[in-house]
Amino acid sequence: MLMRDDTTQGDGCTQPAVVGGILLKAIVDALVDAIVTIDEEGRICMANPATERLFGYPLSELVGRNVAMLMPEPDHSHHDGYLHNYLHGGVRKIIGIGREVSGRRRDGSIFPVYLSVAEVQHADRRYFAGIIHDLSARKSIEDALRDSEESLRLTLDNAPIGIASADLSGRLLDVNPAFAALLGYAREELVGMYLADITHPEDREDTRRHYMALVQGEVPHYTLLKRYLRKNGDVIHARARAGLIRDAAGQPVRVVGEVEDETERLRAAQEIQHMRAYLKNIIDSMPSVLVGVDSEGRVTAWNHSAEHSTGIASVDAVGQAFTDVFPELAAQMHNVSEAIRRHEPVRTERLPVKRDGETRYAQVMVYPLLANGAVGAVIRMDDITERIRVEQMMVQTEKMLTVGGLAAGMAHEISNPLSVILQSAQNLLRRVSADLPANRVKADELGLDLHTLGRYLEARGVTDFITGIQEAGTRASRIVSDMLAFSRRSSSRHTPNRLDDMLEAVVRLAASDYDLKKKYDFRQIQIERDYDPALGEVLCDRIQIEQVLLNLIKNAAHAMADAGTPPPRRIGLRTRRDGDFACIEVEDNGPGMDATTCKRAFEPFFTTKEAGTGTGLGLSVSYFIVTEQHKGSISINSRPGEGCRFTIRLSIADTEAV
Amino acid sequence: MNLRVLVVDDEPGIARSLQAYLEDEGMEVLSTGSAEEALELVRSGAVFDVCIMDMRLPGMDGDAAIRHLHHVRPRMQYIIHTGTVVYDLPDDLRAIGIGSGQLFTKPLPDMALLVNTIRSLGVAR
Repeated sequence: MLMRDDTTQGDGCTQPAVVGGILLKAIVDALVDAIVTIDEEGRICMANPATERLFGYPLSELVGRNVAMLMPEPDHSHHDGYLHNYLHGGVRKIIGIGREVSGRRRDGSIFPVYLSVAEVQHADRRYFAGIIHDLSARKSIEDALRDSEESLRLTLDNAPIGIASADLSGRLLDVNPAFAALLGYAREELVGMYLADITHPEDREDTRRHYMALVQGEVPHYTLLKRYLRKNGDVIHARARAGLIRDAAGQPVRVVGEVEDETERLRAAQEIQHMRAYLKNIIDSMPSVLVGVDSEGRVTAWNHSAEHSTGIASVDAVGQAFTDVFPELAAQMHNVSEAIRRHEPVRTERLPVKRDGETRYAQVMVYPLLANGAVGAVIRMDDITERIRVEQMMVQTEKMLTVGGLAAGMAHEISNPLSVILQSAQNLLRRVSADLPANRVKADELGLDLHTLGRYLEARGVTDFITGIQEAGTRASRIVSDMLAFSRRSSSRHTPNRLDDMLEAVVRLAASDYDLKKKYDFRQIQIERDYDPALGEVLCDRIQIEQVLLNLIKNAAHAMADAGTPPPRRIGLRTRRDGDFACIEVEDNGPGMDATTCKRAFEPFFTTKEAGTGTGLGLSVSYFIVTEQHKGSISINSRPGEGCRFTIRLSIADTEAV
Repeated sequence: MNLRVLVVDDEPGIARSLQAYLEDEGMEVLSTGSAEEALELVRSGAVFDVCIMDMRLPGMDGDAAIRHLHHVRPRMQYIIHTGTVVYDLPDDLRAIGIGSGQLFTKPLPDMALLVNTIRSLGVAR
């Protein structure tokens, strides 16, 4: 410690005081804090070694100088003024109090210090002793603390997920901007609100239970997928995680939680889900059989039609070799490999497939799966039996039109020789008969016994041969006239007719039909009528439609007679309206037809009758008349043993427009 | 008195068989192969109750033949025997009393039907 001379001068210290003075000096010299004593003028009287260390001045440069040298501005300039003010009755601003101020080192650097000043009275003079504690070290800790708080705040403020803290009752204490933005509130608005206020009503109970479990220490934290309510009422889906904060004593003080918006993710997931269901729906709703396979031929997809066709459920089929679960397609394995290798579809037209004892035709398309590097193929199979049948029908109809055209041209040429054949045969039979007087006259003239001749002709089968000529000629003439029907052009003779009138006319005709009467007794058939009286007239070619109806009624009568249908045999005749169509139904309780017969019934020359009985053209002529000449439709509804119903639909839109 | 019938058909087999059948029914039958011959026959004084007329004939066709014959013999009745299915009876022939019951399409497997019609026409006459 360096002192000014006057401070030590005349100091009459007692022995203990001397000891105390030495000790004090040692303490002051050893102190970490600087001690600087100034007089009333502000001059430094005394400074300890710590002062030297702290400010960088040698003690020799300090003593006797104004203490303001140790202060930065503005204190540097004002210190004398402070001192003066105090000495002349001013209030204590620092003395006995102490405060944080700045010090100035010799090198000009400024550093924080804690200054406490004591006033000392000695020999009528006042001194001020300043104890200066270097705050640099503590300051940097505080700065670090402040920095880390600032950093934490910045982190929270900029965190992309919502973070909030709440008290144990669930009242929000603080939220970050992301949390506020998520819920559409200002931060100040949220503070003080309860979690329940921002939770979807249906999720409040669940949230409350989890929160209570957390607060009561049953769980250390929880994660909850829940819905929040935004300020504007919108619902958002979010994942909430919460944890409990305890104080040093382990008592729960608050809950901190983070909230992540899941709305978009959920929507995306839902969209994927929806898209997946939609694609599945598309695949399942396809009438085609659709089988997805990998490059090994194992099933990866199996739609409803595939299930239906095979009777094997999708879950059972997937993973199996398709050749095992769909043996009909076994031959397609080669095509699967081909399609994958060549990167293009491979098609098989008209693959015959046996189904319930019936041959059906399938079109099979195998196409490779190319997207996303997936290796595999899809086998699509369509039943094209109906299409082929319709195509064949069309081809047949075309043929019949051609034949009909030819027949029309040839009708006269054919009908003349047929007339000769038939009429000659009739004359032949008559002229060998013993019943005709003219025959007897001539026979007597020649000495011939007609009875003997008759027996001879019978015995040798000559009569049968002649009958054979007649029957064959009759049949040929019917075929010609049926074929002629195909040559007729439509619509020129369409007139308005009541369908029930036509049916009645046809019933009368059938009852008197020679051919029908000869083989079957039409009177034994009950005709049941169910006519719609409100059904008006329909534009049609009366003769043609009557031909169709007669054909249907005769077919019914024949079928029932041939099958030996037990009485009562019935034919139901019905007319009704169906939208823009007038319907005629001809129904019987006869033997019915199987599915194959139903499908082929309209084909030309398809007949179930004994060879030689019909022309095989009756229904195809009917089909032609209804569909081609009248643009209507004709269909069969029948099962074996359950009778048969034909339905004819004719448009009535035209009639009403007239 | 026996009914007198004229058969006009260019197909001899048909004309012959019709004639044979009707004769067996006790009718007096003449047949010709053309309309012109028939007309000549009638103009030369032959009288018939009923004429069975083919439509498609060499030379004059059946329709025209009936018109001419009707002019000469207004009371003669006609049966039209045609090989064409789509035959439409002309209005002027309807006007002279030919109805659809008098139309027969070839081939005719049973000539008994023809006989009945001829008889009823002959009676009406």
